[in-house]
Amino acid sequence: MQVIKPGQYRHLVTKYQKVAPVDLTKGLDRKTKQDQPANARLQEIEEGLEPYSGVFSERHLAHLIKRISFGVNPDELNAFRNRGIAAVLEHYFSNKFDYPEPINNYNIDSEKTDPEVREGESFVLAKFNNEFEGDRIISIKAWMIGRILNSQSSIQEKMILFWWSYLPIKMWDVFISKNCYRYFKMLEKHSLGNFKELIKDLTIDPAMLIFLSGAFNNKDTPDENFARELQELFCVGKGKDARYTEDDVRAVARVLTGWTIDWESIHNTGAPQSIFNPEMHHTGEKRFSAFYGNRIIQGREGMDGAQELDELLDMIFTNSETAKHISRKIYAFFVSTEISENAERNVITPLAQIIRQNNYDIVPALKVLFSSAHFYHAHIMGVMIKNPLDFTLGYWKNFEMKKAANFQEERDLYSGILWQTANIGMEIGDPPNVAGWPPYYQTPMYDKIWINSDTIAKRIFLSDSMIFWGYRLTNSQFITANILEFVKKLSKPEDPNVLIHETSVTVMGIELNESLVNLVKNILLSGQDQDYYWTGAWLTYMANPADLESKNIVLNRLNPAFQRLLQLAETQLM
Amino acid sequence: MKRRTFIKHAAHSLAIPGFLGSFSNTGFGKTLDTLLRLANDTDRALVLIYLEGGNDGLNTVIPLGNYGALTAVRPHVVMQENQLLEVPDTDFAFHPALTDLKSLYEEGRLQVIHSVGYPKQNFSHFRSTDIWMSGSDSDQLLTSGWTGRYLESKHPQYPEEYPNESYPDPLAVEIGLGSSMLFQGEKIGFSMVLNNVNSFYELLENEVDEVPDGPVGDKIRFIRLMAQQSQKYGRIVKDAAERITYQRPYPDNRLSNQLKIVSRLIAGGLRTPLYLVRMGGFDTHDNQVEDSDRTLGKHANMLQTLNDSIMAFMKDLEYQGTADRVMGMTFSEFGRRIVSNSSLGTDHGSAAPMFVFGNMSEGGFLGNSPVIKGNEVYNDNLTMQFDFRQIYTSILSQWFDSSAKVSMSANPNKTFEQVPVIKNILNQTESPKEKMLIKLFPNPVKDFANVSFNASDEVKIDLIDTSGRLLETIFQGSAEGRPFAHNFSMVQFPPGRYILNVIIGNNRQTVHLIKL
Repeated sequence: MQVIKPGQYRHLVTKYQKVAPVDLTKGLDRKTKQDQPANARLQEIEEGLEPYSGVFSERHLAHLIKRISFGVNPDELNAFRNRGIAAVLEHYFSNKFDYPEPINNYNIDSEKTDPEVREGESFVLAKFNNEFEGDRIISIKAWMIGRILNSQSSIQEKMILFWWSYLPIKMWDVFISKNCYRYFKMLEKHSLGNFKELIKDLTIDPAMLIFLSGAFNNKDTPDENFARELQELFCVGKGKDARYTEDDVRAVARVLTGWTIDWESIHNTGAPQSIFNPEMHHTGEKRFSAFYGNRIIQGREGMDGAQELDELLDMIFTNSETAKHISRKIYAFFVSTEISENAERNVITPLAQIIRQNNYDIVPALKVLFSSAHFYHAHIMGVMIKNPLDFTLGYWKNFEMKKAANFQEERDLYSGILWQTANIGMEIGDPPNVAGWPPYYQTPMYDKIWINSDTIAKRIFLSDSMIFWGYRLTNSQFITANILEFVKKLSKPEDPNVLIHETSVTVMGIELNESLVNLVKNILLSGQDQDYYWTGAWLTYMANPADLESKNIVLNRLNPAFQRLLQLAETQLM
Repeated sequence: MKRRTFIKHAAHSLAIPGFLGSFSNTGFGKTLDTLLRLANDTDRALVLIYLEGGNDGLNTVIPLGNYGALTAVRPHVVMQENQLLEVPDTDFAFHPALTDLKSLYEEGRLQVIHSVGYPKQNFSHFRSTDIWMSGSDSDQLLTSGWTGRYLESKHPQYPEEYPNESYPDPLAVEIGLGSSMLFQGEKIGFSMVLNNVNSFYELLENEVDEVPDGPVGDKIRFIRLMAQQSQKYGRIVKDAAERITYQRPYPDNRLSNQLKIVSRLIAGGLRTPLYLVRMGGFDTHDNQVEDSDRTLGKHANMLQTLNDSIMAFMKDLEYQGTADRVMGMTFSEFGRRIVSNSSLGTDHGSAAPMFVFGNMSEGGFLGNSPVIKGNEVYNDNLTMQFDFRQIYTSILSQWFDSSAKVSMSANPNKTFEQVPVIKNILNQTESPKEKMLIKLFPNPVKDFANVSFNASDEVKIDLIDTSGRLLETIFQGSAEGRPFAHNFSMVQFPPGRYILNVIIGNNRQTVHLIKL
């Protein structure tokens, strides 16, 4: 059976990947200036994991929802107002989300018709066909975006993105759509589960076995790629106490020899399978360094060789660095991309404790973190630059922008979003490399990497165009923001001050200062001095919403006011 | 979607959103395109000054025809007649704060146009502003500006591949607030917006406004800097501004600060034809005047600011050597009621005077100062004498192109007759310095007159009244050699002021005549 190597079909990918991967780190100064951390003021936060005891205001609620899902809208704020942190978390953590499998909606785009899968049918078990894998992958990606857009008040999709950012495959490198789909489902299954079990499944996952070439690691021709990343990126990290050695990398690789892909499952209909092949397994003993307590894993013969993996994971997860490592990853994704020394001491260390106490079940730690005084510190609320998905899909949620009505439109519409978000630096399912998206780890810029003069212009073009003339996703899809409906849901839209304040809570990471509020208010008032001119215009409209003239008067003020609001730097933050 | 198209599409930036747009009306479109190209070729600029809130026209240019009647209906705000700046040989006066505007008028550099408005006046600030910005009729609903729609048809690709060699500069610049409807097209905005005066200087200095203290503020500062750098016209505007290191002094107020930037950009070589600046506060429902001295108060202060700002601007234009290629114009969404209210103020009204100023102004006045009878009641309003779209049409046509016929309403069949606003119409001949010397004799005219000039081209001579109405085409045909001379009769016309509109080839010039 034909094996498939990572990146083997790269020559086909350019045909499908409409936006060439954007390298946001090009030309950046990668050197960390040790004496001058990128955001030194974060060090001022003394608070740790003790429960937040201050007022849980609307802005706190919005902060929490934005960080654990994608954007927030007035409906959600209304639903969870005065419910308290614990109740909100309970809802978001327990709200599981079902979404139908991706199906063949690519026949129309494709020059050929998929012989294996009829239009409208699922392709996630279809046999590998290199002429259709690209189309299928785009359909999976559009489906991944559709899931986020359709999930309601749930942390699940954000968790899946977190895991993908932390433990990524690159779908285009794997190129086998059913493996990619299976990887997604594997992350979904463990999204709020046990980290150790996740790593076990991941290690022998048929997509990961290709992506980091574990499938080609055997006793005769070892491949240390996965063995290295398992420690360096996935479990142990590169913290100052992570002192595993090159010999450890070799030993891990030996433990994992034998794990490979059942290629027949790829080339036939059915779920992709990984298998343990004893003939490829290194049966000698594997010695580890002092970092792992000079542990020795005895080589095993035959199918018993597969059990060495459990021993290996026990060893890795006994190490205290592993819990710290995942704690740092959680912190960088959900709290602040840059981790100060105080945060390392007051958040990371105790969070790792909780994770270990719970045998790597991660939910208890997440709940403590999202309830902590640290999480609601003024330096944390609004400090994160929205990633392209938070930014773009956040608008979809804020302004109830168009969603797909059927599976064909799903591909059309959501692949449009896929390429637009790719164009500002984040193609879902394909981080630039195995370390994930650089804004979550690259010193000294961190999440500032999302923003450069090109991406900020494109981000602002999105909001400008969705307000005025429709944001072009495809030649047939121009998506407009429903500003009017958004404003109607605010508590007192006739009061320009309330309108601006509540909008800022929803779309911005921080309260606007007075001069910016006045700037926007001036636009709303067309330069008039008195608030009541807006009040009158709004109430006139609401008294008779069918009257086109009064609707126009309102829109002619709302549109430029929202254009200006969404152009503000504050809108890029969450 | 083709990959290339997609990327190009996604690549535009309007961090500072952009400019002028357009009309389906082809006649209008063609014309304004020429206008704008010419504007670039000749570096001519038009500065629109929007007086937000509805300026009280009757206390700005005050009719003296029946002052007793005016006093009777505006007892709360009227000034004493001897406090006003009377204009010799007319029946109106300027508000005492407008000393510099009066002297510009006397120099022939400022024109007063009486009672400008539109049929079926709407008294809502918002709606009336939209009408002025969109160029719609009172009962048409348009969400785009008249300039915005135009540019859209002429620049369908904008903003892709803009700026470019033909259009290196912003197509329009506006200062203050966000992007106005004026420059909004159906599909894209066309103006470069400087949201406030500070944002201009921040652009020059690569600085950003104050940010909150702490790590969040640090992120905001960073994003603002990136946004600034992304402004596609930012570099161009900055370069233009940096060429000018000295300007004449301006007072420190919002309007002056804006005009100062406009003058700097024009002097620095920015070839943007249209600028919009704003001044707020004209909504004087109460305390428009101080009761103890009606020449003082809110309205007087604003007119003082307007007066000082325009004068400082004119002096700076002179100093920069750009005065001959800049015209300015004031407008407001409406005037105010004839009858004043007991809060020492005035409520929303209808027609009001406009000022058109600049070295190339036609000067003088158009129309008649409003007639007040003394028995007006609260709901009475001034009768409109000019549709505001006549003034737009005239300024664009005469300032940017002598042969333009610009239509403004969304109804393409609707045309607006021009009135004379520019002294020396844009000269497109190969030797623009060759001036037409038009002789009219006698003037004032009793019965017959003779007009003569040098020409060997197509000639058209129209007689129009001060309201811009065409009374008679006196001559049309080719001029046989030079000099050209023509006798005509004024017997049939009543005494008063008239204007001869003389078109020779692409040149246009006007001569005022008085019928005795």
